[in-house]
Amino acid sequence: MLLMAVAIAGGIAVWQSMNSQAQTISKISKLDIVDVSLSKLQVGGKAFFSVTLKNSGTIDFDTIEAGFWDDTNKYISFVKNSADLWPGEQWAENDVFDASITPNQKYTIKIAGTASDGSTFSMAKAISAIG
Amino acid sequence: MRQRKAVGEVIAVALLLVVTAAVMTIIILHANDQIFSERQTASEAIEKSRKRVQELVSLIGISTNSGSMAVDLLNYGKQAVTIEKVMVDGVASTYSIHKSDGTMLGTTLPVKEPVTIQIPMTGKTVQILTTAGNLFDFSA
Repeated sequence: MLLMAVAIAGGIAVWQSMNSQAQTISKISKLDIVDVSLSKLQVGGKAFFSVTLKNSGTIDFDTIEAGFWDDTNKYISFVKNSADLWPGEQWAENDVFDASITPNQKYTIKIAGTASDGSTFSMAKAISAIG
Repeated sequence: MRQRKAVGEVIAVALLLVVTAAVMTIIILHANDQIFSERQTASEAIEKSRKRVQELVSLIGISTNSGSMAVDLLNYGKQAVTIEKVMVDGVASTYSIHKSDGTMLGTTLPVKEPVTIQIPMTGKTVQILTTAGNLFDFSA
């Protein structure tokens, strides 16, 4: 009986430990780019920046940021605080900015986010400007 | 005594099997979720890109009156185009879409039918952003 009790108690302890670890492993903060575009407008000194992101992780995001550096190295971005972007949900933003960009030139797009547990995610992607 | 020991061993083995099976299930479900999620994102991106490629809009002309502009367009694609935003020189503006007989449309450019977008602003360029993410930039 004692051995059985020890075996059961041990089993429960192992189960709880492994379950806790599995839950930690399964907490993934990840954003995917569904769509991104950067266009130079015909009217001088303006650029149209559009981005659609998807929360492909398993935890919600509180803050999301998407931006790029123009020809003068000026950083232009969208920042969404209190985003409350749950797993599977998408976030899209577009706007026209005062920016200097050159068609067919590659620009680095920075994507960053902070999940509700405080973990951060960031990635970069190079895209060609159109216009 | 021997029988009790045998029962204990069976329970221990059963417990180990249950724990192993549970952990394996969690790992497999987790991996499956990840693969499915990435596949779904890729398919959403392809669908968005497909819709964008299918949007074909041609400028017929832009006329400017005092304080307003009229942009004549033709959607020569195979599907209706829905407008998300109209801008003049990069500044968002209100707008209304009219058919050639004057009928007012919502935000959709019907297929193979000339329409006029009335904008209560003037400028050098007009940008039309569609819900599929296409930006048509026309010079006045």
